[in-house]
Amino acid sequence: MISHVFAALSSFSPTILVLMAAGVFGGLIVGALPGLTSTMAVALLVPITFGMQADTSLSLLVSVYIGAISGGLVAATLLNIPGTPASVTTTFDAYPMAARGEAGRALAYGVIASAGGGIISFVVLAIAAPMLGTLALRFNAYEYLALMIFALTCVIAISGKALTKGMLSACLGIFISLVGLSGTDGVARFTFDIQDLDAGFGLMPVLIGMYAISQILIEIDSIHSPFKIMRATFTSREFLDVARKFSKQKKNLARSSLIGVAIGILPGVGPNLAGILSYSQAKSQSKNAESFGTGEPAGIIASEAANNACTGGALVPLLSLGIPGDATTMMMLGGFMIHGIQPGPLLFRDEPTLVFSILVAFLVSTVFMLLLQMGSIRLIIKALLVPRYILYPIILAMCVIGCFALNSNMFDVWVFLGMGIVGYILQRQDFPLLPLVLGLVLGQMTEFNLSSCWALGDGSLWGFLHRPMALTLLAASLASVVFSLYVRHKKA
Amino acid sequence: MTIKKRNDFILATVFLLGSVFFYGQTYEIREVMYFSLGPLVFPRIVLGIMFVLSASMLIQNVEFRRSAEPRAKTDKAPWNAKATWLRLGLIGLLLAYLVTLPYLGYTGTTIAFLFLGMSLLGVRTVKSLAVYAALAVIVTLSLQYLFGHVLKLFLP
Repeated sequence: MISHVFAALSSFSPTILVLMAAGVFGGLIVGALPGLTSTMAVALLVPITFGMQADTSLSLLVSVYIGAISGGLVAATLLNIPGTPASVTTTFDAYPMAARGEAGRALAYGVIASAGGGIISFVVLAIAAPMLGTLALRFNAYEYLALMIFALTCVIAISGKALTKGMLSACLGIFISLVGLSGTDGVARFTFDIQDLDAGFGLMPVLIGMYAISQILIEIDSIHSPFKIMRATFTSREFLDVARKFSKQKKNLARSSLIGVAIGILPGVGPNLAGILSYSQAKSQSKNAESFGTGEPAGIIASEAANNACTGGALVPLLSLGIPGDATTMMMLGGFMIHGIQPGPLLFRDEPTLVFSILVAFLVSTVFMLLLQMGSIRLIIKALLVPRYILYPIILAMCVIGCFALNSNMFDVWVFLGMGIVGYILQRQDFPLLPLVLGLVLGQMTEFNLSSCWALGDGSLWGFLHRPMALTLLAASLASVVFSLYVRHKKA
Repeated sequence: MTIKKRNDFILATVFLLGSVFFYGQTYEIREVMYFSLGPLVFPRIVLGIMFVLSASMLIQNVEFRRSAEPRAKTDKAPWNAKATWLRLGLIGLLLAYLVTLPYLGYTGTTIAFLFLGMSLLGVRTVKSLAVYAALAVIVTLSLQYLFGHVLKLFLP
C-alpha cells in the first residue's frame, strides 16, 4: 500500500498541480455564481478531459467538485442567494453577519469550516473506501441487486412530499437506460429501427442536458435581475482573528463534518440535505439557539463543514462500489467511463495507484481551496458581475461541443437538447431530477443483477435468504421507504 | 369532476399513455433466452410500476365536488410571458444551431449562435450588440483553439 501511495504522489507533476489549482479556482467561480452548479461544472469538463491521462482527468474533476461546493459561500454571504444548492443554510447566518458589517468574518468562518470539513472527510474517505472496497469484493449478484434497490429507495425516500413524482422520475430514468441493445441478451429494445439508438442514450449527454439546459431555462426568469452585492472586506487580520476563535467550535466542526460524510456516503442524497441536517443539529445542541439565523458563526460552520465533508463521503460509494453518491459524482462516473475504467471494488485491486491519486488529489484540492479562497475572494466577487445573458449562451455552446466530442456524433447533441427540454418540464412541475439520473445510472446494472440472481436461484429469488448482507440491505431499503412515509404522514 | 393541478394531470396522463404504449412495444421485442429472465421481464416490471404510479397521480389530481362549492385557490406563480418567449427563442436558436452545425461547420455557426443568443437574452443597444459580436468571435476562436489544438478533440 505504501508503494502505491508513493507512486500516486510521484505522479503529481507540476502540470497536474497547476491544472488542479485552475480546477479549484474555476470551481470556486462556478460555485459563486447562482444558477451554476458543481454538477454543471463537472459535466462541462468531463468531455474535455477525454484527451488527458486518467489520473490527470480525475484529479481535475475532483478539484472542480471541491471548488464548486466551496464557492457557494461567497454568494450566500454577499447576495443572500446560495451559489450552489448545498449552501442554502449558509445564507441563514452568513448574510445577516455580512449585513451588520462583518462580511469578512463571515467569509473567514465559512472558508475555515470548508477546509476543516474537507480534511475530516478525506480521513474517512482514505479509511472507508478501501475497507468498503474489500468488503464489496465478497459481493455477488444478490448483494449488488440489494444495494441498487437500497440506492433507489434512498433517493425516493428523500423526495418527501413529492414521493409519487420521485418514484415516477426514477422509473423514467430506469426506462431510459433500457433503450438500446439489452445488456443481458443483446436484443434491441425500443429502438424503432433507429441505428443510433442501438447503443442507447449516452449517459453524459442526458446528464449534461438535464442539468445544464434545464437550469439555464429556469434561470431565464431572473436573467435581467442584477445581483445586489454586499460590500466585503476580507483582510488577513480578520482571518487570523477568526482562526483563533475556531477552537471553541471544534465539536460543532467535527459533528457537522461527520454528518456531511455520512450523508455523502448514502447514494443519491447529496450535500443539500447534509447542510440542513447539520445546521439543525448545531442549533438544537447550541446554548444560543435563538441567535441562529441572526448571524451566528456556529450556523455558518455547521453548514459549510457539512457540505464540504459531503464531497469526500460521496466519493466513497463511487470508488468502492461504483455507485455515485450524488449528482456530481454521477458526472464523475462519466469521467471514469470515458477512460475505460469501471469504479468499484475491482478498482482497488486493478488500479490502486489511480485510487490513491484520487485520494491525494482530494486532499491537495482541499488545501488549494483554502489558499485560493483566502487569496482570491475579491476576484470571485468580480465574477458575480458578469451578466448571465452573456454567460449562458457560452455555457450552451461549450455543452454542444462537449457532447459532440464524446463520440464525434451529432446524435449525442440531439439527445442533450431533447433531455434538456424534458428535464426543464419535469423540474418545473416539481419532479426531482436526482431519482431520474440515479435510475439512469443503475437501470441496466439492476436488470443484469436481477437476471443473475434469477439464474443463480434456478428460476427464483429465494437465494436471498442465504445472503445476510443482501438481506440487511433489503431491510434498510424497506426501512428508508417506511421512514419517509412516516415523516410524510406526520407532516400531513 | 374537477382537476386540481392541470399540469400534473397532463403529465400523469402522458406517463400513463406512455407506459401503455411502450408496454405494447415489448411485444415487438424478439425474445431470446440466453439469460433466464429474458429481455422483456424487467422493462415490463418498470412500465407496470410507472402505470400504477401515474394512475395514482392522475387520481390524486381529480376532485369530485358539488358545482356550488368554490374552487380552492392554488399557489401558482403568475405566468411570465416575456420569460416564456425568451425560453422558446433560446430553444429555437439552439435547434437552428444544431441543424446547421454539421453543414456549415463549427466556427460560423457558433459565432452566430453566441451573438444571437446574447442579443436575445440581453439588452439590445448598439454598444451592447458590438460587445456581443466581439465576445462571440473571441469566445468561439478561443474554444476552437482550446478544444481543437490543446485538448485535441474533434469539432463538428
